[in-house]
Amino acid sequence: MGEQQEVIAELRDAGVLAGVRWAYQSAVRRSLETYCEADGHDHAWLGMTRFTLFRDRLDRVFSCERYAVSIDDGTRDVDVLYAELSEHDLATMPRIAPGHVTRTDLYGSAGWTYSDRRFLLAAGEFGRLRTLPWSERSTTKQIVAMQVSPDPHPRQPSLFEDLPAEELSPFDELLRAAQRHLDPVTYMVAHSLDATTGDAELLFGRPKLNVRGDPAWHWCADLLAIPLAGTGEPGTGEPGAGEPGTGDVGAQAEARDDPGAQDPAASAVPDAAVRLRVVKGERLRDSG
Amino acid sequence: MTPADLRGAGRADRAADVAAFFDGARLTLARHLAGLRKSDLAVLVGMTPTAVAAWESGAKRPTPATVARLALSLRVEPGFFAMRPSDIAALSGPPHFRSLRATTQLARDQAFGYGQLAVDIAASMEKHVEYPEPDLPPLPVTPDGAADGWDGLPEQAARQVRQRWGMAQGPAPHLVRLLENHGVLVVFSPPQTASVDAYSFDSRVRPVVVLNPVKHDYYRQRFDVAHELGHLVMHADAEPGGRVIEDQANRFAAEFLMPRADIREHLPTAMSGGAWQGLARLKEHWGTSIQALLYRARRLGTLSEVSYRNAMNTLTSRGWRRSEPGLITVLEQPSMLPRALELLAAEGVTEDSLLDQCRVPAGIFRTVTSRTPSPAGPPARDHSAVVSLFG
Repeated sequence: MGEQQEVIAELRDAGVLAGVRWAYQSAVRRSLETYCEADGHDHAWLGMTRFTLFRDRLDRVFSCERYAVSIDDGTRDVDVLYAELSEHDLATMPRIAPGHVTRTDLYGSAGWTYSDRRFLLAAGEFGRLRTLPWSERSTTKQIVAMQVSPDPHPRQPSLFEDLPAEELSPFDELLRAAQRHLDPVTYMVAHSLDATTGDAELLFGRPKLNVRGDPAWHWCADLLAIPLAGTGEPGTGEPGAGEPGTGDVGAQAEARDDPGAQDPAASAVPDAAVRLRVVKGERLRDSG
Repeated sequence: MTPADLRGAGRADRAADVAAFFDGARLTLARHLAGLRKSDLAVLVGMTPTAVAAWESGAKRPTPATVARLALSLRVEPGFFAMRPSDIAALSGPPHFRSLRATTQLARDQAFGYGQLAVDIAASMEKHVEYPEPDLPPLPVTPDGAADGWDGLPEQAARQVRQRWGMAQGPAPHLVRLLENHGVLVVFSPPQTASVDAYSFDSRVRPVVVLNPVKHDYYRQRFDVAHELGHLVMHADAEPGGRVIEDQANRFAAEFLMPRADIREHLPTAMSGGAWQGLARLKEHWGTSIQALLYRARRLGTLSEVSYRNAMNTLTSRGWRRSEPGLITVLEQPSMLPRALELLAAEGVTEDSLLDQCRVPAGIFRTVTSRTPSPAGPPARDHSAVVSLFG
């Protein structure tokens, strides 16, 4: 099995890819709902908003950062988790137990890790994600794109490998030496949006350092096209029973949460001053 | 005849009776509670949306057979459609929902319908019990009428309510009970409407606060209750849902729960040393979350912007945004309707007879009259998302 099949199967079975897809679709919907050219918004605003909301939705679905709770308590105060989400978002949100995916940023870039696989986010131009020029992106993204692919096929020489050694700056050397093997191994989620048509793209894969126009991936999967369980989207099944991390936290709530348990402090407060109006024995008449 | 036959015969008889006393507003209410559009209901009963609109507006009266079909489709007894003493919706001010964009009109209509039903149930039982008289001073604040800063109209309104209600200095007592004893009906909403945060409206019969059933935090629930009290006092005529209105309600709640004059000297001025221990103590003393205390400290100027931001970052990294540690783990609970129910039960008045009188489905009746929220199930997984409250 190649790396792509292995990684996609592992992340799909854990519900991680469904979480990413839900997060992105939620972010896109809210970005476009809010976007208003007449109010002065432009594509930069839309891009920043989409990224910010995407990061927020990923934190929600994986219970990270402001949505973090202790691992055994995924039902705690879900009002915070649900705040401002649309009903469609709520209805389609995959249930992933807290703690399975953790927030692991890389040099200030937002990142999330499941098991020993991390992914970062990269926005791109609609229709050009497959040739996204990593060499023009941040140093962090370049470092990720420079990781050695484990695929058995001969690897394309990277941008720097074709350069004579004397042309490499000390910083480039440092990159080569230190960042070929990131721990954990780091993948990219690339996303784009056509604001006019509302069309979106979402790829997950292993990036390959390239220059503009060249292929940007060792391999990548289209997360909007592959079947994923538990997203509530048409054509997908319910979350599989027994899948790690995708237990139905709502059902657990019923068994464990008992907000009505009597608390000495609460029960010490007398009830509201309600008094009987009827005399004893008087029959109630239907007053409807 | 089997009992089922008898019930069926009863349903037909009642449909005929109800057709004579049919109230279009009750059909609208039932449709809202079921989470349906007019066109959805029209499909269910095999009629046109225009016909549904005409029944609801009162322009046309449905036949007994149609009343029976409507009742079956909406899963209510035909008696639900009968005229009630007062049309709660027509008497009510606008409901104050936190976020208009997070919920559809359908979901808001459903939530508001539930609130109206709660008032109706309370009013129905009021024939046999006396509740505390409503005592909320109207202190209107317009969206542009509240000056910024720490002492604008929302803060003054909060102090006036405290004074009118004879509250002592320091922490506010059991908030739900405080509101109930001043005539406010407080109920939990059903788990199906969990996407709608706490909301309130003044029904003219009685002001109402409907609590979110999935908020399991005592401290944050108290802030919600104070926030809704702010809406009821200040925003009877205000356009709901705007950021300014919501901010005013938060300012009211902050001053109501943590009056500046009492708390300012105790708030942290820096986040060094024992600041977190101090906040934990303040939290338990005032019954407010650490987040609310930090925000209060920032608004009152004891904490700098940088310190506040750093403190919030710390809070986030500890996983306290969603789940702050605290000693009190049980929510404040409503008592007005549960107590009325207990008093009536002691007099031999059964739930069945009350149900018959209120003419609401048993499930909704029990949710409205419960001290605790119904257990939260998982959110709906279909795309209609708004799930009927008639179950």
